[in-house]
Amino acid sequence: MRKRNQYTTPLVLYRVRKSLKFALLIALLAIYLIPIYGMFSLAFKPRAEIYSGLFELTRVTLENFEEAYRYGAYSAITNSIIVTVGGVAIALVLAVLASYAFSRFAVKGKNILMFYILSTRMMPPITLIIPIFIMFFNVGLKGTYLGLILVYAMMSLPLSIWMIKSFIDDIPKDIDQAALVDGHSTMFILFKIIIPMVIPGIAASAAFAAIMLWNEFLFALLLSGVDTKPTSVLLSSIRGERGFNWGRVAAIEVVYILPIIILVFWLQKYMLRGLTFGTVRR
Amino acid sequence: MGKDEYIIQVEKIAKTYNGRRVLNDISFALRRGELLAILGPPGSGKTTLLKIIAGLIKQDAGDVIINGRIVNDLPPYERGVSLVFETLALYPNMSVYENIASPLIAEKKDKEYIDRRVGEISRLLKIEHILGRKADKLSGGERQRVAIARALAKEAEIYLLDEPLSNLDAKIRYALRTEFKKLKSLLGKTIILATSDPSDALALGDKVMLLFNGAVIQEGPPIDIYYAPRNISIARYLTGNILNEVSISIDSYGKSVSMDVGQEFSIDPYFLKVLREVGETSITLASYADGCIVDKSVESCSGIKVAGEFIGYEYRGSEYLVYARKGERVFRSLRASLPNVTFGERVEVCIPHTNALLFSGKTGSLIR
Amino acid sequence: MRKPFSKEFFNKGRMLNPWLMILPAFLILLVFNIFPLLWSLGISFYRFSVIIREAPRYVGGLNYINVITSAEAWDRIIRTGIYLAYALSLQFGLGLLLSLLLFEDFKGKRMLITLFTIPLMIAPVASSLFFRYLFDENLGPVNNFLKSIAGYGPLWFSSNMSPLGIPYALLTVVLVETWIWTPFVMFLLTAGMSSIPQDLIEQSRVDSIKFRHKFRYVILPYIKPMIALALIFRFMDSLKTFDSIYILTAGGPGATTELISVYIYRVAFERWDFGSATALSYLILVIVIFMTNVFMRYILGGERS
Repeated sequence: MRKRNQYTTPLVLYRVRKSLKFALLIALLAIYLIPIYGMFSLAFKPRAEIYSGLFELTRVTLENFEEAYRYGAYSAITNSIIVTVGGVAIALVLAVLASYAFSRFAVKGKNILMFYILSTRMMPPITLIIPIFIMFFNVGLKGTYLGLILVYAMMSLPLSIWMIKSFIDDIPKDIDQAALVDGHSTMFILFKIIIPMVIPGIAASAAFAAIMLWNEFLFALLLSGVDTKPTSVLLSSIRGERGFNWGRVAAIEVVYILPIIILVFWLQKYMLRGLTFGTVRR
Repeated sequence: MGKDEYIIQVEKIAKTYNGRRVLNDISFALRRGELLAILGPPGSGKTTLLKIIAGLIKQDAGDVIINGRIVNDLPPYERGVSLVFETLALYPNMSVYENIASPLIAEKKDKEYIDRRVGEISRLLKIEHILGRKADKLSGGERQRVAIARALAKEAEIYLLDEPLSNLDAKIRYALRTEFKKLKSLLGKTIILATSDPSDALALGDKVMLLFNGAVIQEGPPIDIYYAPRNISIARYLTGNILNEVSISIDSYGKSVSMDVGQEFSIDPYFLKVLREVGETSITLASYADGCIVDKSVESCSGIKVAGEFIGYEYRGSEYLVYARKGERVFRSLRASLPNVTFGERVEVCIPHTNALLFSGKTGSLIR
Repeated sequence: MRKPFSKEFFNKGRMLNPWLMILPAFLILLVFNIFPLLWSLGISFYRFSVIIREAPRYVGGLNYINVITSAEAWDRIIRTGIYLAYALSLQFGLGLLLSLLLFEDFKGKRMLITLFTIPLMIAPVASSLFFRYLFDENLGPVNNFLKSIAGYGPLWFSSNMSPLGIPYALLTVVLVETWIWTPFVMFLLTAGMSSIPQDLIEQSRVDSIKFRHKFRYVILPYIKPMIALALIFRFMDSLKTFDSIYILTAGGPGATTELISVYIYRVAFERWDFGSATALSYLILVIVIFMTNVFMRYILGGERS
């Protein structure tokens, strides 16, 4: 009897400690997500109750969304979609080709190239923005979708190449070699055999690139025009106004971040690769 | 003998990886319809050699000649070879049918031909029932068959099989081995098979080539390899390190003979003469389990006879592998039935001189 | 020695030269990355007129000398250093705390981690703008709450000194950036901890050793690489901090929150002094490339082991 007591006491203690830890964690998470919750609750609040406290929500209304629509949120979101999809689409096609070559072939100078591509991730965008600004100003790309799409393709290429390469690296080379012995062409091997095997990985890479571009601000601020400004620029321009309507801001923010939140849940499996450029795998 | 008689010749192939020599002047030649078994432990360079022949890895030196043509600079699909990978390398996102049809699709054969050929081959390998399944949803044995089927679907001069029987449980392995023999005689194809299992190599090969650390150490018909292994380490490897061995010392005058199994032994006079004529002071006598007799008493033994102790047995299908020990030495004997003794009881071990392999005690090379 | 996939291999038709596959991606990088980089190096040797159409004048290394001797630039660099110290220690402290709380497995752990990563993935512009509402000095929920319990709400966007030794405006930036980036640190550290062999964890539990020792001898050796990785990433990205400052304070009041990237932006696009801006950004780039090099060597070392 005594023996069992000696054994169970620490176990009880352990359980208590574990549930305390869990409670603390939940509490921290709750505090952590208050701003997100606040955004949503503010977006659905009537205008009169904006400063009435974060948690009070007496009446749910869509008037903020209506106002956001009138303010131009609709076209900003459309612009965001256009430049994001355009940038990701170009980057993805090019990245798939390049990452396959990097993963499979003994290309001369491969390490230097891969290092350069990674270093672009680290480069302060401010270094690039001045010449690109002058360049776009001179060739008339400033304020166009195409200009922003091209810059966005450049921005998401490094992430896409490194990440897709990390997925292709996981496929045994014997698969390619078997296809080579069978007599398939490089393009057949890539598109009919390798790509179908890494579709989830490519989709995840595309999603990470899309999130990056969707959230991008600095290039959009300087390169977009009145008609082509994406949501981030619209939001920043509200900042300069005096006495603006927070409910409307929250409504735009909700529309802006909701797709990302949904993506995050799908991406949890690939989060580590996405955050570390595919350099850390699991 | 004219060069053109050979379907494939490999001449002085060498390959170095990161400063490590993985293949060292490998040469061999093979006639149409022959099966060469390349036997060697893992990491001995078998896979590299097969991939060099297939054109997937470039050799540093040497030539691969197929059908009288040097193919060193030809890509894999122009060499007329087909390869079963050790890793199988099935296309996981394709169906079994698509996997087998893959080389035919690459050759742009028409639909009817592909259907017929895939049908034939899947019948041959008994995988007709899984043609519609996806390749990543197969069992180990099925995957192995599909990989072989894909390689066979291609009309090739030479079929290269890399460890086609590894990673399989004994039952499937045995079944596939018999199937291979059938396939070989049925198809009459030239086959090069790499394996690390001596019994596979000896059972299937017309010729066996032993590859150790990237170098050929013996080559010949399986019978020769088995009954005349060039040195004792080959003999040990062939048995999976369970060779029966006795060290014999003979003084320089050939008068006194001693063994490392104590005093209680006897040697047939004729065999003693043979041993003396060898002219070495130290000889290792070895025999395989099937050439060794262990019994309660052995009346007449034409070789050497040692007294030992019965320590155990294993049941091997239709036979028993019986273990006897004397000092440090353990002897194994294959018998149809168990000897009439209990554990620990005295038995006699006889190695008849016809089954005895004699190796030099100093160099380990075969004397007789 | 001829490579397995050398040129003569690929000129056989069916096999494509790998360079052809790399080329399109490389072209984009060439036009929009390498070329601008070189151009910006060129710009850094010129003095630009405020009128953008007027031709710039070659001044040699003058811009670099100006930047290095400018008290203003040094002030911004020191500000950035202070910001880095506060932001990184907060992010790593909190990140480590969270990952330690997440150390043991329980049902729904993955979901919890995913929820924590939301702030990391949404646009900093959106979250920063919302924090302006939360921290609003008169009517914002944060000050409402503080006033109701402490009777006092600080001026979050002022240059007044906060009890933590930095101005309130800078503190606000630090807090918002911490909110955004702590999950990143937490996530990497959690990944590192999940690589600790299960039997080691169980052994330490059976031995019921002190937490201090458990951390020192069981956890730390496994998360060290991840800490280094997170540190390098966070250091680089913190140097780039722009979006949140632009939205929260636009660098103000005065130059209180004008960190290096905001400063460069202002020099370039408010004073139109492209020369000095690119010179300064090039100096930052040198630091970043040096750090990337260290980082690459670190990764390559990690892959080898």
